[in-house]
Amino acid sequence: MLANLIALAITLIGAVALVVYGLRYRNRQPAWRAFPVFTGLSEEVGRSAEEGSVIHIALGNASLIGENAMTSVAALEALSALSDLAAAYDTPPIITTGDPTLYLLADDGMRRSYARLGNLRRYRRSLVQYIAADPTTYAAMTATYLYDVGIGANIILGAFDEEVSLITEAAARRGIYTMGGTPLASGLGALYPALKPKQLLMGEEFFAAGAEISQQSTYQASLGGQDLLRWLIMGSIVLIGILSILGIVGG
Amino acid sequence: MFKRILPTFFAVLAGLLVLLGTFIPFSPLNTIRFFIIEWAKIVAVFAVILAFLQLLRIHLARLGRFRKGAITSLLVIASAIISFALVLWQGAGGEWTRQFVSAVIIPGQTALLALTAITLIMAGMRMLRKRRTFGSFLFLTVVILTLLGAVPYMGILEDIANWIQFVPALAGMRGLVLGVALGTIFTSLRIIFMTSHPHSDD
Repeated sequence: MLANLIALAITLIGAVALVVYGLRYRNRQPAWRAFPVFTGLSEEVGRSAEEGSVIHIALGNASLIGENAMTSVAALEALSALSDLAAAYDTPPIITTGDPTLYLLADDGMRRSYARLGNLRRYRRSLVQYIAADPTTYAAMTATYLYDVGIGANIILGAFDEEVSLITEAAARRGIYTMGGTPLASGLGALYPALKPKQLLMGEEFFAAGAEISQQSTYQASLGGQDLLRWLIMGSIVLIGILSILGIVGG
Repeated sequence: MFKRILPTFFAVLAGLLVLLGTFIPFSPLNTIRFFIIEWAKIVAVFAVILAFLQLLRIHLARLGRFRKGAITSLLVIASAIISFALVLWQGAGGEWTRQFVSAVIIPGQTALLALTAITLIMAGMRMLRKRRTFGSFLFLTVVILTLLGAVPYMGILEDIANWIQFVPALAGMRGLVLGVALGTIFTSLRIIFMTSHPHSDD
């Protein structure tokens, strides 16, 4: 019960922080540390438009009703901003997923990007593809896909484990520029040797994708809130450590 | 209204009820939470059917064009239809279904996992060749020490590997998980506050 109350308190503080930062950032853009990977994402869309090549976006296998649901939602937020850009250039990316619920939402998001620009008749249902349910099979099939279709750039955004190395290896062999990230430690272990630091999103940086690509104040507010809560949690850890050393709390 | 307000209203309502049911696990909130999650699972089953049909459509189109990858598409269509027919005929626990899983799917996935280990080693070697930074050397040193430490009777290497796993790696992992948890909380709060709606029109 105590754990539930702590979680409720953290969520409530987060909710208040989101409102306060949302109002604060409505009129002025905050300055965050630079994430070169996000600049790269937008640049890749532009470069693909110029070269006429195709961008592939791998969204992974995290279901919208599973424990990594919010990872997929964060990936879809980043995808939404990228889809708008790609639809404006008329260089649609090919999106692959390994989860049916994620496939439906990605397909709908892509269709809406075209509708927003009044270009719905250019939208093709084959732009978003469901590949396979098993993560390793999904990664292997996506790797095969990179070989078969002429892909210019490869973006990895979603919950991936070590099987992601099948995709990055295929991309490296074909000389396809790859970038992206995952919040899962096992996936990061596989992405770290394959991608340069400026191409890689590590852990929580993944959740900054929507804010950096869209530059909307609501996304910026959540970054502000995350920072505030991080300081609070760090302070609490240090305080509990000191109290524990002094023998005031704990065994 | 049907494109924006209703989906957003139901998403926010469901999100709030599930959140409250998690934090306050008493009736009727936990019962409502259970029902909402069960409904979501039923909807997900329909998503599986749609995704399956789309998978067949894409591969049939590729097969029809008979370009590069057509053989792969043929194998995908054949295995998808066989799996579907077997489950329809005998159910998920049927003898032929189990035979198909244990004789075809499991060996295939095991082979892919072995391939993953090889691609990881190749990625490490490529990193050593192309990216000679302090971070790369540290990464590879830790990998080698951990692998050697996992071998029996390695003496001090075993202790070093254990220390790496249970002190710096665990600390780093906890930091990572903490950051990801905060990102998860704020992503869900944005949906509950209606500032982000991946499920409806803007």
